[in-house]
Amino acid sequence: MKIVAPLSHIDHYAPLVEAGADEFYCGFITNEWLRRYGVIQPLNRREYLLDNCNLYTRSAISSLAQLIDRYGAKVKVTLNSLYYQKDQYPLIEDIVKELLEIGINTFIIADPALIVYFRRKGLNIKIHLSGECGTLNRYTIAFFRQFDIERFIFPGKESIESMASCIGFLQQNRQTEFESFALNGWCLFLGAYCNTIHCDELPHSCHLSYRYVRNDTDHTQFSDIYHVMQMQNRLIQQNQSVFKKQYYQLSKHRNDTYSLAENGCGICKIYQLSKIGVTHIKLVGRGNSLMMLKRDVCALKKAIDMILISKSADEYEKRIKHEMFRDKCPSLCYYFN
Amino acid sequence: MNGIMPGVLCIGFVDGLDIDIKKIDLQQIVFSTNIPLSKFVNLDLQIFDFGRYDYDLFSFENVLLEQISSNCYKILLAETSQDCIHRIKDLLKLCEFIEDGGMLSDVDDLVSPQPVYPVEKDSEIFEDLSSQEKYWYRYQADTDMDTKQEEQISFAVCLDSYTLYLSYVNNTANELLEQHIRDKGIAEHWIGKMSVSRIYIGNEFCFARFPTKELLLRCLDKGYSEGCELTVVFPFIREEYVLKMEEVLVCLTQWQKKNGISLELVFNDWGMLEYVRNLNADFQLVLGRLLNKKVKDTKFKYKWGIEQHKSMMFENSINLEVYSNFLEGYGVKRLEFDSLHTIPDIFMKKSSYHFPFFQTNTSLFCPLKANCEFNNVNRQEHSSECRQYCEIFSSLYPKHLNLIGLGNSIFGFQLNEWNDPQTVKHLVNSGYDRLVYHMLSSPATQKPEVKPL
Repeated sequence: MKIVAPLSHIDHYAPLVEAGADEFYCGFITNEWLRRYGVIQPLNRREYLLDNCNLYTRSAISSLAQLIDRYGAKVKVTLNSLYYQKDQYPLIEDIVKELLEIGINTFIIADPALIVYFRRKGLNIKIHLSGECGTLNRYTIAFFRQFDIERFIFPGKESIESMASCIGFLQQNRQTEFESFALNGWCLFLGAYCNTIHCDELPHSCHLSYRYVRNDTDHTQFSDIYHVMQMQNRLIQQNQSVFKKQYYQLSKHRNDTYSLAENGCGICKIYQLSKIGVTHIKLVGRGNSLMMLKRDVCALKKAIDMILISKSADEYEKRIKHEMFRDKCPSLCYYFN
Repeated sequence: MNGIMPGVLCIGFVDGLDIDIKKIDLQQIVFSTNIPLSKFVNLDLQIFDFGRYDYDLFSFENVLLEQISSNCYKILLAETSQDCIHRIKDLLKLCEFIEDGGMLSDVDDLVSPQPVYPVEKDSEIFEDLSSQEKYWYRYQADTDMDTKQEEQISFAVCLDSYTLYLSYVNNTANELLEQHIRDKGIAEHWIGKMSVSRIYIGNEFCFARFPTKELLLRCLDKGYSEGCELTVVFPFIREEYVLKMEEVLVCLTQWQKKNGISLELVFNDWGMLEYVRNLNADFQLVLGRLLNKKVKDTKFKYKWGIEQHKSMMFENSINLEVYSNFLEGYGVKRLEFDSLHTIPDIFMKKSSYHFPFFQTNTSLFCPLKANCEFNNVNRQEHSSECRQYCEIFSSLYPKHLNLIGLGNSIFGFQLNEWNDPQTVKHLVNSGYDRLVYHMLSSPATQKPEVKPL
């Protein structure tokens, strides 16, 4: 089991490798792209101006190539927007060719059109199918196999049972890598079907306040549930100020108050994930501070090491919960199923 | 400060090559590069201008370079223009704000004239669905569309819930629409003048809202008997539902054979397309809204730079010829949209426009179900049965955002298009040949029981 970690700054590479990261993913946005499209139509799903989620210079990429040579942890570049404009595809091709020249040959892609475009152009690249593409069943894997996908990344919250079934279906034929979410980035919705904006200046749609209502006020069905909902509505109203704070809360640099797995956790299932054939686990956190990322990578490394001393999935789960969370499970679980 | 200076706000070039800025203030710039440099260099600083939503360029010619370590250099910023000083000061203030955290309204002078999202409006949410709908449907936009335009665009209604499936079994499509128009008080709206020629059956966003095989066949038989054209709509397919999808498709193949017609089939899952291709059934394939991606956000008008880049909002990957051809190779005949889109001139496929609701977010599992059963929207999980809570409850969002939450999805209401008498004309002129109307929250006449999936 390998750890795939985010890389938002060149200075993070060496410390994160030392902490246990096996592989990185990063965004790279060229000056040409920024001048033409800004962050309105992003190369990857980070429309931020006030944050450091991407690498922006060729100088950084060139240094990165040297670091890869020295430390050996590969870096893949994220091109995971759900779609692009037609005049952007040739520009992306230029960026990819530039990266290929310095030895970066793996790309996370969510847009089927971009995959079709690259394969038609005959670009010699490795493709990791993004979780944002929605690989939810065996036939989707079969569909994308025509594009020689090196790795399938399952969407966050996909059940272990479902992933096992998909992997089992494919492994009858060939060796392929599979990646799934292990830490952070939990979302109420699914990236593949989220068509809203993620940027500094707007609240994310999943953070908006809302009120539950009955569709038919005369109806008495589920009246007990509705009673609870009315209480929830009152609480939401009272806590409006909390929602306001959430609107722009730069939580990516909270070294002192950050707690492990507060934004999504699947750590106690790593044993099971490894047994069903998941080869890589993903740490989400582009833009997070180095200290937060190091803590996360160390935790994942420790969790992977604990696979060896556990005899069963149950024992592993108990051990993780006890040793890493003092038997108090984080609230945002990737794998309730 | 500079540990978190956003790289996108200030980009430097030395002798034309970009550099990694480590630190910048009014006196100096510290940067790294692994390219060998001479003692005197030309420095260009690109600093982001929020007003223009573009970069301003400040050049420093023949400046002395001081090497700090192997790849790290320093340049003293002497003879800096007042404009550049002002911009660097703003940049430093912004960095300080980012480091401290806070509300964007605290720095609106720095990002002006870009809009600041009106957080205060988020507390204004309608008390009940009826008030929300009255607000949306209050405007009765009549239309001056002529017969020619009516002929150019067909009108379909979407049956996407158990309430609607069951209602349809006992009523004609036009009766259902008439009832909806009466209930919503929109008889004067141009929607009230449309006549249903096609029925969409099924749900694009949730398999739990897809009809049972028996109910699906009853709806198809009803549609066939009343002379409606028929489209069956599928959602994304989780692995757990693969078998059910296969069964339904086999069932539809048999129904087609029995009735001697070819059904239209909307797919929202690449795996389903793969399966159907190997099935060799005579379906008319339609690319669904979950796969025909588009940024759709009712908060868009508050997005920085949107005024400068509006033109980018009208296309998606479908306009890429190689992709369009790829879909055609799979037999895709039609595309479903729910936000206005520039359709290429040379375009072999037909296009539908869903109205007046558009999807913005969808979850793999149901947050509403999670809340109803665990009082916790985050506790989402697969379950083998669904009690159809979405028939009873929905969630309302801040009034100014025109959103409604239904089951596992959020939908926006196309207020501008609803209020515009010219909407049909615009659609026809844009190349759409079908309008798909969503009733979304019609009052239940016959409530469904628990549905096994």
